[in-house]
Amino acid sequence: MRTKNKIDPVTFEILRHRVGAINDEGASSLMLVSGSPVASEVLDFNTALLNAKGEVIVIGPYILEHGISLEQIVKYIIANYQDNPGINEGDMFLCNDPYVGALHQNDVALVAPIYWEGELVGWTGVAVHQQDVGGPGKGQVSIGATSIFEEAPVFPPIKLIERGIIRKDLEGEYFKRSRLPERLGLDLRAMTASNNVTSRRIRELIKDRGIETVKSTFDAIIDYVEVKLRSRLMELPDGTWRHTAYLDYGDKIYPCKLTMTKKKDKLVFDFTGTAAQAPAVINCTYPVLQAIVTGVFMMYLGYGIFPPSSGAAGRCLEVVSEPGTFVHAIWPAGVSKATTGARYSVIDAGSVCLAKMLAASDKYRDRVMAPWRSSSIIADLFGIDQRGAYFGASILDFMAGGAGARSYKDGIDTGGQLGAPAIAIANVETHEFRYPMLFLYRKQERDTGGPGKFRGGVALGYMWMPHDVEEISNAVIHAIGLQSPNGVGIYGGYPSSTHVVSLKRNTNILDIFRDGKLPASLDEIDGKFEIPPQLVETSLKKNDIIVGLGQGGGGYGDPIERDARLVANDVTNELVSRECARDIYGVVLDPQTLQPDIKQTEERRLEIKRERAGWQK
Amino acid sequence: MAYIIGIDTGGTFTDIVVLSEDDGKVTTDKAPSTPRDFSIGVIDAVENAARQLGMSGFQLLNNTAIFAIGTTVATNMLLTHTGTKTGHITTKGFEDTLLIGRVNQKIAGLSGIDVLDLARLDKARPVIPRNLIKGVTERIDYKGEVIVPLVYQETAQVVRDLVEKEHVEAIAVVLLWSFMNPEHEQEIKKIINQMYPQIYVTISSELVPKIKEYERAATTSINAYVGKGTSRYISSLGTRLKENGLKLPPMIMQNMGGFTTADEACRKPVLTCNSGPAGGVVGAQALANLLGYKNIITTDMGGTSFDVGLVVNGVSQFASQLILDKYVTLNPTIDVTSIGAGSGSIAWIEPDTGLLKVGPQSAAADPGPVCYEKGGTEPTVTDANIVLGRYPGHLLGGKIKLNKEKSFSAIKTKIADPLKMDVATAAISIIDIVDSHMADLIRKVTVAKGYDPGDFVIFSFGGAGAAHVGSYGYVGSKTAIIPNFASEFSAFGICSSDVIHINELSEPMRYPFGTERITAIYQDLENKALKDFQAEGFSRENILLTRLVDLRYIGQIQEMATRVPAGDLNHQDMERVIDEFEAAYELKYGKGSAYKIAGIEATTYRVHGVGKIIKPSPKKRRRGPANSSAAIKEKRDVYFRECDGFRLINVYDRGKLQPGNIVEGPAIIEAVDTTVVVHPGQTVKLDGYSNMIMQLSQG
Repeated sequence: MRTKNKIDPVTFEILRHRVGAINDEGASSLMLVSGSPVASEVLDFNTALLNAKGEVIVIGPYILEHGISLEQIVKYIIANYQDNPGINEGDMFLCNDPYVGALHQNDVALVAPIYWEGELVGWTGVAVHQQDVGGPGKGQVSIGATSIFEEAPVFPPIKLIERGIIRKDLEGEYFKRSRLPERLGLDLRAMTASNNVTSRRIRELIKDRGIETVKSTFDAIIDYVEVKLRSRLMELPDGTWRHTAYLDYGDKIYPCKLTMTKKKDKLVFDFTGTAAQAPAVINCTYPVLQAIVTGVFMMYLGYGIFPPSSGAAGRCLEVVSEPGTFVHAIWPAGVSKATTGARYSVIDAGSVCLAKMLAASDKYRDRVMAPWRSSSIIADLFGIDQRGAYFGASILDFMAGGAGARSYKDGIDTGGQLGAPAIAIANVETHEFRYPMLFLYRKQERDTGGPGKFRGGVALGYMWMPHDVEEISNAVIHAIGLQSPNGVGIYGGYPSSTHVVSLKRNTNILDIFRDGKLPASLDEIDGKFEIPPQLVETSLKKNDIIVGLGQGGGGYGDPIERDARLVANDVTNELVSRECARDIYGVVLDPQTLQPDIKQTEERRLEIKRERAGWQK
Repeated sequence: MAYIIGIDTGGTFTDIVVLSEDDGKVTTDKAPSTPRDFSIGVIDAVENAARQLGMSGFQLLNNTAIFAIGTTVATNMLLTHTGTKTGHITTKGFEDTLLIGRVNQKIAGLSGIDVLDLARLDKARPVIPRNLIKGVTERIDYKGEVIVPLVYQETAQVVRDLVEKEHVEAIAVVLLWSFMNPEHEQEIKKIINQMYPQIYVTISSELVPKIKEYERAATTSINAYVGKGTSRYISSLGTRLKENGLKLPPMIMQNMGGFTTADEACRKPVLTCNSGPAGGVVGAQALANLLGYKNIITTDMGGTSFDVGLVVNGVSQFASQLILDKYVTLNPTIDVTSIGAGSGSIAWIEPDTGLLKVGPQSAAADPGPVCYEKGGTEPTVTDANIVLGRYPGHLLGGKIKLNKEKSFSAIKTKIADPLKMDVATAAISIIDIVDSHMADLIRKVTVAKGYDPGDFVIFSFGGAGAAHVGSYGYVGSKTAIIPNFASEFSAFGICSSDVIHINELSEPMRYPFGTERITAIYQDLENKALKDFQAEGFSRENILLTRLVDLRYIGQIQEMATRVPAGDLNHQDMERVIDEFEAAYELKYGKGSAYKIAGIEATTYRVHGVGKIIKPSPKKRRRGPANSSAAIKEKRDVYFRECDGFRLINVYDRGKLQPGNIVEGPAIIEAVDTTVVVHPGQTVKLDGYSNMIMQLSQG
């Protein structure tokens, strides 16, 4: 093998898969034991195995940055904790400090060193999104916070488990401020189990193969993935690509400006010129910026390489940014919504630059994807449920955003999130059994996908109401992309829709039910219409109805070049409206057959070209 | 003389196993499968077996009491998208449930490396296109209360449109919360039956009355989609068998490890998917019971895939869902996990790193390994076995000749020369890698689920397993068993099965439970099962009903099936059930992992019904001497890592081994359809039932 470490290639091939399987097993243990639907049903977590220096050897296929970010946390512990409090066999460190590496305060990591006969061999770790870790805001966002001091509590790495024994005082400290301490408890057990399983398997592997073999395999895997990534980069043309993504927050728009330069086998992501940080909420820190860039790079260029090693990916990248910007926040800026705030701008800017670089190569052009868009409306609900018990719920159905269009085919409808291939949304019946909700619809929303020669995937839409309770006392609803779409198009493709959240209060819904009807939209219901602010904490009474509309993926290529028959299919499948077919795609359908009228379509497309010529004036 | 026949049509060959009821004699045979009309291959296989028994196919069928068959017709229809045009009726507002597929439909069933290949992902090819999915006005809530009643006129119009405008031949009906209150679904079924009796209808509350509307819709839709085609096949097979002498309709194997009547299989064809591999696990379970083994790992290595199943405490392990062509279906099935590793797996060198890889691509049976000389040019696992001297120069008793020189030169030019290795080293490396992939899967299925392989015996079947089990079996187990009829083992399993009916119902509730309601649910499920079994002619003493409940901690997804006592239930009974659940949970996830504070939920109630088929016990042959030298047919140079190269070793003729004979490794044992590789330090002993018992070395 053409890498630095000397290890018999057959043993390497065998152990490469073994190590991947061990990390998977850690992830399955977590899923099985986890007590929070966010981890076990939505799969908002990840695991990683790291070498003794803290470089990630392998991450799981869940939310990539959860795994990637563990590298920063472990490196921090190695750099700062050698003597005090010490790093020993059986220790585990808990951390949700975004300035160390946690994505935001609700993403809690637990990392553990792996020892063999007194020698540090590597690390294992897991990060899981928690619904509530405490703080002034219920759930993840503290609306109106002006610094991190007004957000959820921050734990720099603390040695929660010392030589195998959990520190009760620290555990109490961690649980105390949460509104859902039992959930934290269940997840902490699951995270511990996951680390224990991985450590045990690695020690068994050492027993079987010897410590030197395992240690060199760890390093050889990272080298191997690095070689593969670099050889891919070498095949791509050198150049510089630029894109600016926009994040709406409050009354401002925050540009995220990226200049990506590729030279030989190295990529530099330069965010110079990005908007100054907000006081709180939407920013991300520098370690998190690095993790996000690594993740988006792996999604575009890491395919087909096993195991996915973010340690190797990180070696091929350099991230340049200015302290004090919203992608590189400095203390004490708040970052409580980083994962659905700044993270999305970084992913979007990175996606467009990487897609353009791939498009510049004949070999890699079929790897081009316009930006994916998902999960930017979140409803964190708290109150008394239909059985009289206190409950907390994160409704993450907008994970079902649309995938970006490809250079040769449409994006996946309700395809999910770019950096999280394995995520899922809960069934409506699961929501309704757990929480006091009744869904009126949950569907794929027409016209949400960015139009193009190849269309961006459409997104989810829902309408629901409280059910079997007088009210849901606290609903924290927060979104981005309400003012400008995030899923931009490429090569002439159009952007996706923007997000929409709306409410109707004190409606006549029960009368409508009594009349034997099921409304298909908010228009069919009487009540007080309300567009809530971008971030809002409100209560939902039993006759209030909430509607959400997601963002689709960006389009690829000019929509007037789309095969008219594909547009007709989209109309039949309720993915594109007839108006959008005519206005944007220039396809006129026969009202009877819903098949394209060839002559009228040609005329309409010519007309669109004439309209465009007019833009130049 | 009466016979029980088991048939598996799943592979290149249609395998048959005939069990003589009087003396327990087992006869096996095979005939090429005939995918255009599987019944031809079935009749051919029957004729072949009959010839061995010295009678005509008609005579054999005429004297057959039970004819059980595993079919892949439904699976094939799904994979090739050749089912009937099907409509779908659901609650208005939820028409896209099947297409949304909970988002992760796009990765369902994919391996880790494919999951991360984002630009190549797509959701399932819809079995029912969006324009044939219709919503109707109706709504039921989580308690089963009607929020909005079903509107007859609208429903009738939807049905009329589907049938008369769209010309669907089948309709799947899946409404929200129908398992809590099936009235609306039943009403729709009545409407369809009255208006268009020729339409094939499946309603979810009858097929799979369980919570999770996406998975329920997937199961129901696939069932409706393959319903007519499967029914046509089963009925034409029945006719053909009847013409050929069979007196009773055939029984059909299902993926929960038992067979059922042809009528029931026509109503629930989705349950026939993956029934072949399930047959293998059931066969292993039956054989293990006979041999006195409680815990076994079943491994089936064929040409393209390697399947692993588990039997724990004498019971085949179930999965609560099965992925079919990216759809997640919800019926309990025998848990079989597969990877693409087999004797046809191709060895190749990764261009940018120069690393040797094996699979997942396979040369399968066509073109096959290079040595088959059927056009294959890429070296495979079989080619490596030939080069190492492990395989003889032919297969199937000489029917297929193997060209060793071609294998040698393929491995030399494609693997050994580029890697600067000698050919034997390249070949043994190929074997090491494929064996390690298989061992990893065994670990995943056992260790990752909390089981220690050291407590298990490995069963190895499928044509290629015996050559590799001595190596992939090295995961801590001490014993491996290569059963007699290893290469027709699924058919043997089908033959050893009983009739199984699983009835279940979701009605999620939180502890403390309403015991009267639970008792009523079980009685209802039991009555359904008894009615079916009695209609099939089972007397009460041959019907075995087991109650199970799926329990979990609130907030968790993972459920554990826990046994529930029979009869009227009181609170003490349910307390004991909970205690058992918590004990089992801690056993699986470690001491201290149980977390009662979170509370406990019951989701699904299940009655697992078995209609026992009385089968003769096989006769044990008398044990002979340990000395096996009479069975030695030749000496051959065979490569072993443990010997650092080739060594001249004994090759035994399986046909000449006597019960009690012991073969000491290194050695090769050749049977007509399989070759056993016995490594240095291992021994193989033939037992009284002609199974080969391998003691795995620990070195």
